[in-house]
Amino acid sequence: MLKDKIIMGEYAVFVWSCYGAVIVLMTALAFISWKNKKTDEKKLNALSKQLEEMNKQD
Amino acid sequence: MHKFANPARFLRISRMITPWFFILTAVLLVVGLYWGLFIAPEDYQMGSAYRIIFVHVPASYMSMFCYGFMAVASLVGIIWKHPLADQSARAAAPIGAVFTALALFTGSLWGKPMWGTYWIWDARLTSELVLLFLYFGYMAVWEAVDDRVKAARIAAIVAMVGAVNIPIIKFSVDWWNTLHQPASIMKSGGASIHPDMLWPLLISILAFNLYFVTVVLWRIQSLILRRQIRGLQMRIVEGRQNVEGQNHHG
Amino acid sequence: MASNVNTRASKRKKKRLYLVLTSMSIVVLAVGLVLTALEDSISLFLDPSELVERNIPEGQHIRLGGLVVEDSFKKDQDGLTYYFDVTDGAETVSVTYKGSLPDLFREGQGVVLEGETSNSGLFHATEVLAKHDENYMPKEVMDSLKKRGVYREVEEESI
Repeated sequence: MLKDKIIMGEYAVFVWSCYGAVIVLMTALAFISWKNKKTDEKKLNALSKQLEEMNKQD
Repeated sequence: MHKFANPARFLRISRMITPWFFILTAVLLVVGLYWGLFIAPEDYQMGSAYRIIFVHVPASYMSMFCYGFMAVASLVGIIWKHPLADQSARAAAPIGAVFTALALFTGSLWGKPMWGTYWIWDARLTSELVLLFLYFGYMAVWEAVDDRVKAARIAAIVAMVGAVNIPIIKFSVDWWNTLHQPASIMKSGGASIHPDMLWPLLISILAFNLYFVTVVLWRIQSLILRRQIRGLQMRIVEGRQNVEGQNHHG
Repeated sequence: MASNVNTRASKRKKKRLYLVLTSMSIVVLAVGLVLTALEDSISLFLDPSELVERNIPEGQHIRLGGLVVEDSFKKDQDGLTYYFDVTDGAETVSVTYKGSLPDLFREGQGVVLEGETSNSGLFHATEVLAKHDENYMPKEVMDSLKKRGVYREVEEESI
């Protein structure tokens, strides 16, 4: 029964490739977008600390 | 309007809601795709091949929705000159491009076993391919033009002019003879798809919508943060120059 | 003073809005005109009525689309050549084709054919593509619809 569901007649290659592409591409885009946001947040924090210290020296 | 569009407030609110949107997206996506793959009944003609509908229709729908979003954001950007509007449009472009590529890819893999061909130059398929190139063109403007104000203006014009393509895609199957079939959900007289198949499809569409909201908010946050980073970098450089200038005089 | 600046700014906004709306209308009009002019080349296929109306010369490569007539499908003895009729309700064209058929090809369903007419009036197809309609339903539902005789009526109406 489960095997039937996975094989899907002769269309398994087509169906699974579609779902695979959707999952891979959407996960990749989401991950990259999230990761970039995280990196930018860290960078901004580091820079504002640097600016604060510069102002203190003055 | 301007109060809501304040970048700092926007950052605060979107940081608060994106985790929830992300969780909801993940849950609905798993439910929708699992339902489509394993629970929904087979189609009387296409057997299991029709299960591609549960990714193809949401991706195609979102490919158009995303461009519409960009066009509206660009219009707001050009008339009210608010940077957040331009950033929203810019943030949406790669998401739309991915949806368009997926719509074309899944459609092609559906067409081969059912129609007998991966590709045909009919009005629906061709206009969807044009949409992909519009996304590429829009993104290329942002990369190619260094002056940000100018880039925003040119990109906005590309987005608004390109929006003409959206109704062409939607109505291509009614206006011309195409190999692609007419609409099944959004048509007069109700959906021509059985409820057992319609429900997982609607869940999948909702999940794709939420995915867009989540990812576009992350990307807009990134663009705002980068603007702030550039501002700080400039202040640091200016500060150093001032210090050096004082040392020189001393 | 402040209100003066405000009205000037809102005037500029209005001007930009009108400019955008006007240019967009021109773009829409231009695209609409182009698409109307190109209507024939954008449409993927002719239906049998158009084929008859337009007196397409023999040997001209065209695409023909329509429904496969029920009970018209025949296989040649070699098992590779097929004969069937294609109709749009008004006109019917007989077709011959040698090659493989897509999975969705069946009587009563839409097809798009690539090929040319011959002097015998027979359409020689070099490629057969199946067209799917916008209906999706489970097999059991279809069977019960057929049993109750509902499906026939729907199908005839749609032609």
